[in-house]
Formats: sequence, C-alpha cells, structure tokens
Amino acid sequence: MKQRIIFLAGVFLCGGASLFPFIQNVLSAEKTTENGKTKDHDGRAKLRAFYTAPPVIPHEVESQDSRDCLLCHSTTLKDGWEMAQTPHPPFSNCLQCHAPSLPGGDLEVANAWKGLEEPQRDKRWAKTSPPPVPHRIFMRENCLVCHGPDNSNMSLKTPHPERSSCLQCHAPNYNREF
Amino acid sequence: MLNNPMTRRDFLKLSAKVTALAALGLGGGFPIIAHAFDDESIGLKWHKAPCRFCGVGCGAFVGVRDGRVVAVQGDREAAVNKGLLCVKGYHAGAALYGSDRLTNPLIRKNGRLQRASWEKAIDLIAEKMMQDPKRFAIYGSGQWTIPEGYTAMKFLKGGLRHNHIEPNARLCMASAVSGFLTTFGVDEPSGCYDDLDVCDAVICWGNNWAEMHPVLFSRFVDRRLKGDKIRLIDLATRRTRTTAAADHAIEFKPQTDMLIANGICHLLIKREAYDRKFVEDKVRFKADDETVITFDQYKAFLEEYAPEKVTQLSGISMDQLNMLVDLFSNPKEKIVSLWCMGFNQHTRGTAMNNLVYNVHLLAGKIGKPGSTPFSLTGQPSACGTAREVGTNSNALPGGGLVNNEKDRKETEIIWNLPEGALDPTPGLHAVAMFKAFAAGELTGMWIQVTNPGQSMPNLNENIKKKDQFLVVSDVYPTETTRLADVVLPSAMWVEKNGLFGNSERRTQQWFKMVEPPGEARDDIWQMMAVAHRMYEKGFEGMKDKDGNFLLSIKDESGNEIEAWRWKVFRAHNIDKPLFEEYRKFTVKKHKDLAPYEEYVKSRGLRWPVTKDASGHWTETPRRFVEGEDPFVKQGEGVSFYMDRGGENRANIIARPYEPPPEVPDQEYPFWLCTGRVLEHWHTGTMTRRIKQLYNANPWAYVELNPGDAKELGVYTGDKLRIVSRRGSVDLPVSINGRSVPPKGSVFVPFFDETKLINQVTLDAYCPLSKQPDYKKCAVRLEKV
Repeated sequence: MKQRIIFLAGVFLCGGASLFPFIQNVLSAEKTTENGKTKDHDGRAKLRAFYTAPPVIPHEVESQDSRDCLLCHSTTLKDGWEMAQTPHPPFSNCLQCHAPSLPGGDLEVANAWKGLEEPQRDKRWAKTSPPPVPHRIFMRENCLVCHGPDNSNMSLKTPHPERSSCLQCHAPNYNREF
Repeated sequence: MLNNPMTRRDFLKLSAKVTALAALGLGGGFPIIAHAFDDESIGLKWHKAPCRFCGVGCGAFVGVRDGRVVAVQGDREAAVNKGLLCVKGYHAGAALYGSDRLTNPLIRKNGRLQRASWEKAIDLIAEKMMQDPKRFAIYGSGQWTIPEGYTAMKFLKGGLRHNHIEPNARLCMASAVSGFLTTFGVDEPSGCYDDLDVCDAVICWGNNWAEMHPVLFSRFVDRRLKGDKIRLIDLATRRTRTTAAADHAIEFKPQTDMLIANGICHLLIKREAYDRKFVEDKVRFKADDETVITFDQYKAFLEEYAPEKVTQLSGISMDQLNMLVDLFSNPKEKIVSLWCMGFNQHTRGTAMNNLVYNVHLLAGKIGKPGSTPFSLTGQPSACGTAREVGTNSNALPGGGLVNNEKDRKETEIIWNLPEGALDPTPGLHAVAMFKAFAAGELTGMWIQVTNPGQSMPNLNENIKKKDQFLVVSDVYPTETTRLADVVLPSAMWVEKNGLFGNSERRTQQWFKMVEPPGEARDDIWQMMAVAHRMYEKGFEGMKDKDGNFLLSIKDESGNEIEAWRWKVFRAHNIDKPLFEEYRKFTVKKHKDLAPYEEYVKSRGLRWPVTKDASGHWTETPRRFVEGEDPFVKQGEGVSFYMDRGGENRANIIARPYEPPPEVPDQEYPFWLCTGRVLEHWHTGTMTRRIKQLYNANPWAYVELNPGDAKELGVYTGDKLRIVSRRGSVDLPVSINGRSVPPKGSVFVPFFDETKLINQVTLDAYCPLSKQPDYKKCAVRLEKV
C-alpha cells in the first residue's frame, strides 16, 4: 500500500498539471458548499446518518478509483486546505461505504429517520486521571488523525502529541465497541 | 454470571464482544460482563439480523432505542462481511421511516384507493379467491423470508390446488437454477465465499460486483493490501467500477460470452491442457438436447469455436483469449469465476451457466479450495426462499417437482392432504403469468414483497389490467400498488421475525425488534388470515384430509396457535413451527437444515447442516468435497452425488452459440443494457426514500460513450429519448460517469420509478429457464 501511495504521489507530482483540474474542482466544490465541507466537529458529525455510520462525501466524486481518494485523504494537505484523513486502515473500495452526497438534495418523500447521536464525554475517574475514550474505536483506529496537532478545529486536540500509544492511558469503553 | 444461566442473546452478545476486544488487542485483562454491549445508560440495545438487501447476506447489528431503529452496523463475528457493510446496509434503518409508509389497508372504490379495515380487506380477498380459485395466482419474491415463502407455497399449492405461483427470482436467478440442475442435478453453488480468500484469480463474467456485491468485492481486492498476489479479470460489455480495479479488462460484444467460453474449451482440449484425470473420473458429456455423447463428439462440436472465429466475433484479442486459456491450463492457479445477471438475464441463460461449468470442469477447477465457479445471487433470500423452498410454478418444497409423483406424495403426507390433491401440471412462469393476467386468462393475483409494475420487462405489454382483481402487499406506494384493487400494508425487515438464505447456502435468522407502523402487519399473517377466512366459509381446499385448517400451526405442546388472529400472531414467534415443518422437506435433496434454535445461536449456517458424531450441528463450507460435505464418502475426493445419471458425475453440455433475438440495425442502432447501481436496491422503493442514498444517485440517467455523445452533440445533463420497438423514455445524459459503455451501446439503471426504462426493454427469454434478457435490445436515441 505504502509503495502504491508513494507511486501515486509520484504520479501526482509528475502529472500534477493534468490532475490539477480535478483537485481544483474538489476544492471549489468545498468553497461553494454551504453546509458540506465544514472543519468543525459538529459539522462533520452531520455527515453521518448516525454516530457509527460512515460519513457521506460532501463533494463531487469524479474518480471510481480509491487510490484517487487517498491522494487527498491519506494525508492532511497543507497550503491552507485541510482534508479529512481516513482514521481507519486503508481499504480498496472507499465508495463501498462512503456515498457521494451533495448537501441540499431534497428527498421526494420526507423521512423521519432519527439516528443514534455521538456519545457524551465520559467522566474522568479523578481530576488528574486521563479521560477515557468516549466513542468506539472500530474504524477510528488512528487516533492522531482527529486528535493530532495538525487538525486545528475538528476535535479535541491532544496536549501531548509526542506520546504515541494512546490506549495505554485512555481506556476505551468496551460497551461501545459494538 | 455462572449463577445466572445466560440466555442465547447474552451468549451472542458476549461472543461478539470477546471477538471485538480481541480484534483491538484488549481481550486479556478485561472482565467480561454479560449485557455489556447494550448501552443501557442511553437505552440502546443491539440485535443481530442479516442485511435487508442483496444476496451476499452480510451480518448486521441493528441498534434499537425507544422502539425505533437508530443505527445499523456490520457484525464483526459474521463470517460473510467481518464487520463492514456497504452504503445500503449502513443506511437500511432509514428504509423503515419514509413518511408515506402504508399504514392502513386500502380498497379501490369508484376508481380510487380508499382506507378500509383489515376485516373488510380480508373478506374481499377471500371472496374473490373463492369465486375463481384456479385462476388466482400468487407472485412473490426472493425477498420473502423462508417462512413467508413456505406459507405462500402451502396456501397456493395445497389450498388453491394449482401451481400459478412465481417469485420475481424468475427474472433474476432462474437461469442459474436450470444451469445447476442440468450440470450437477441439484441447485446452488458448491463453493463458498472462503474461496475468495484463497484463490489466485477471479474472473468476473459480465458482473460488476464492485457495485452489486461490494462487500465480497472488497473481501477479495483488499487482499492486495495484505500483499497477496491476486488477479482480477473483468470480462464485460462496458467499463465499470469493477474494470477500474481489474488487472485485465476484456471487453466483448453482447452475447459473445458463449463464443468465449466455448473458445476456451476448444483450446484447452486442442492443447491437451485440460485435467484429463478429473474429466475421466468425474465428468460426462452431453449434447445440446442433453443426450449423452462421447468426448470425441464433444471435441468435434468445439471445432466451430476456433480462436480466429472467437476473437473476430467477440472483439477480444488473441492475447486476451490466450491469457484466459493459460490461466485455466495452469494446474497451480486457483480460479474463481463469478457471474450474476450478465449470464442469467440472457436469452441463452441456462446455456451460459452450463458453459462456465464446462470450462471449470474441463480444467478441473472445482471442488478445491480457491477453485470454483460461483453464481452470485441478487436477492437476500433468492436462494433460501425462491430456490430452496421452491416458490415457483414447477416446484415443491425442498427441491421437489410438481410433475413428479413421488414428490407430490411426500408433500401430501407432510401437509396431511388427501391423496392426489396436488396438481401435477406446472403453472405459468412469470412472464407468461403477467401476459395471462393482462389477457384476462388469470382473473386474480396477489403480489407480495416485489414491484413488477416497474421491474417486468416490456411493461407496456406485460403490466395491464381491466377487471382482473389485484392485491398488493407492500410497505410504500409503488408502480404496482397504483394498479391494485386492494393494498395491504406490510411489516418489513426487523419489524417481523425472519430467516433468509444467502448465495453461499447460509441460512440466517433474526427476531422482530420494532413494531410495524400503524396497522401494517406481517405478510405471513395476511396469508393466514385470508386462508382461515376461506376455511371458515367452507372452502374445501383450505381443509386438510381430516377437515382441519390447512395452515394450522401448533405450539411445542401440540396446542393450536390461532395465528390468523392478529393478537395471537404477534404474541408468538410462528417462524419457529413453520421452519420446523419446512425442515422436513430439506433432507430430500441433501440440503439438510438444522433446528431453528441453531440459527438463533449462530451467525448463519451453510447447508447441508448435519449432526456430527458428538451431537453438534455442523455446516458444510464446500459441497461435493470429501471432508467438508458429510454426503461424500471417504476416498471419493470430489463427488457430484446428486448426478441424475447415478454415476456421481457432472455434465459438460455442448451448448452452441446462438445470436441474440434483437440486434442493432439502421433504425435502432444502439445496444441497450440495463441494471443496478451500488446505492439503490432494485426498484428504489426503499432506497430512494433514504437521504444518503438518494443524494448519491437521485435519478436514472443514460450512460453514453463519449464518442457517441460527440457525434450526437450532447453533453452531460442534456436530455435524450431512448426509443425501442416497444416504448420510450426520456433520460438525462451521463458521460464518463461511473461507467462507460463502448461505442454503439448505452446503459440505463432501472431503480427510478419516475423514468421507467422497462417500457423499452425486450421480454424475450431463455427457453429453458424462462428468464428474460434485460441486458440486450436495440434502441435509437433522439434529442429532446
């Protein structure tokens, strides 16, 4: 996989010119989208039908190839643009779970679906003890994608990014692992 | 915990949790508490159920709070999907909550459907059925649960005593069934999904599994991420998402799959690269009329399929053909062939299924881990219900046939019918049934769990009625309920108990989790209530030979459960007694099922399920394989023990190429192919009411080759009229979208009820399976 990404990165650099319109399209879609691409945590939660659902894709999708998705979503792009990096190990078929869904499309018939909300933060055992993980970890295995120093507004940022074994101190709630 | 015996539910939850924790590497030190995995602090409970949608049969967990479904997630204990679902499965819960759910029975009065009581609706249906029982048909689906299909079967064949019952699976899997019966003497795949985990190559024959069976597709292609050397070969008539992931993309002209398969066999024999020992020991040769022929006669038949002719007519290159032949010639390559509607919806569908078996049998690539031809299924219980229960015009439960006296007698004994009660004449197949209904030869029809008003081919001819009486049980208004005289509101998925059977012979069970809305009621109850009303009115057919109610259900102590009363019905799980009764049939063709409780405990079991020496019910991953299938004797290796010739052999059948019934010409110069997309389930009744799925793919479109678009001067979003000899439909153009048809052909999905492509399609069908071909007809394109 790594090799593939490196290879694609190479392709990206060499063929950057031809890929540029695609990237630009993605970015401009974000600009013009009112509710779709939001950096804050609540806005991102809205992309899920319920808390454990895979988020929908808030921009147009032009490529069928997951490697193209990972060009942006395997890293946090800089240059002012912040991409959602996938928090789970890479799979080969992004569009299996993530549906491209431009916001604002109205259903022909209303739907009264109410999905399960994000869990509340769990209490610390004592003021000085590390907080437990309030959400499930399955498909969110890479903690630093959301909690690392690079993600400015999305979620709680760790004050100690130099520590890399998160679950050593932060206990997952096994009740929620399903 | 030891003092309190665990319930099965607790056990399930516990084992799921242990696996989950093990996956996270957290198993060791944690105390395990029963009930832990429901989050009681927020009133959330999780229950297992197979996904509502396709034939893959993913295991899901459904989160329920305050009597409503609030979440759906993949079951990490489920062997099929190991924790992931597809976008339809994740959002399946919202299918329950569309604001126009049918919640009351409706009866047509003065041309309008009007709200009515269950009492009146049941009365009316019973009365109409009693007026003309022999001309009242039932049309159901591969989305019926196993007990639903069994009840409908007993109602019609035992009660109305004729055979006009069909499932929509006739439009979907009939060619696969007749292919299995002619080659192996028994229906359903012998291989299983595990073969995808160990094979070296997968060949997709006209099958876009990246969209239609996405969880299995990922199960295979994700192996690349683990460093496995695997190859995906996409044989297709257009470029799809599957093509994008393929190592070899081979584009062929419609219908020439027959030439390619025969061409491979031709070269395997010519190069002496076939598995001689396997062929001598396990195979018999047959002519197209299914008389036995010699190997030399088969060889002579293949002379016509020389590579020059095959490549010229099919459009594939010599290199591509050689690559396929080399693959099958190499004894080390483990190959899985996959197909679905590309073969089945084919005017030579049965032959096409036989032909892919020919290739695998010649190459000896069957009955070994990683090597199998595998027929994928469209619907969640096309196998479990339509095929195993056998809800069609020529079958009896458990693989019996209506025109077989022994099968009829056995059925009469289990159903306690008087001798000779069952009708030996097969009923009408689906297309003929709708034609007879349109012509008034059938006077009534009851449709459950399907939407033929949108899914039948050539709709203008096949969905018509005047005075005929039509009852439709469904959950939302559809193109079919629009035509109905009585509409019955049904419970769906986890609003009722159920069992489904998936593509790999896996039977899966679930319990009811939430109440159906308003007055919606289970499909089984609807049949029970009508049957009992007929019984009350003295209809002879609804009595068994002792004069008791035909569909009588007894509890474990032998007392009658008055299941026709809704209050009694909803207080009992009548799936269990129905399943136990049906189970008696399943031993007939070695498709043995375990008792109901075994399915409650497990994440599904693949039949045949038999008791091993220690008393455990054990499933069969691969059928016909020694050590896995209990009906294969020691030392036999692979045994095709359902061979009708009694020699434990499979048939290689010499199926010649035949041209399609309609080909593009000057007037209608384009091929039209129709099909499905990832985000929508068949006619979109459920999925077009789910926001995330609707937004991903809101309406149908016509996919055009960019070259054709240029010549026509149209761009994405422009409107085109698709016109055939049968009808027309206007559609927005899509160019370079998710798939690209080759020049001279177009593709249209059929999920959109506002744009009925089946007004355009052809209703020609396979002469053996009677399954229509939705994949090829001739159209012209007009700018609008």
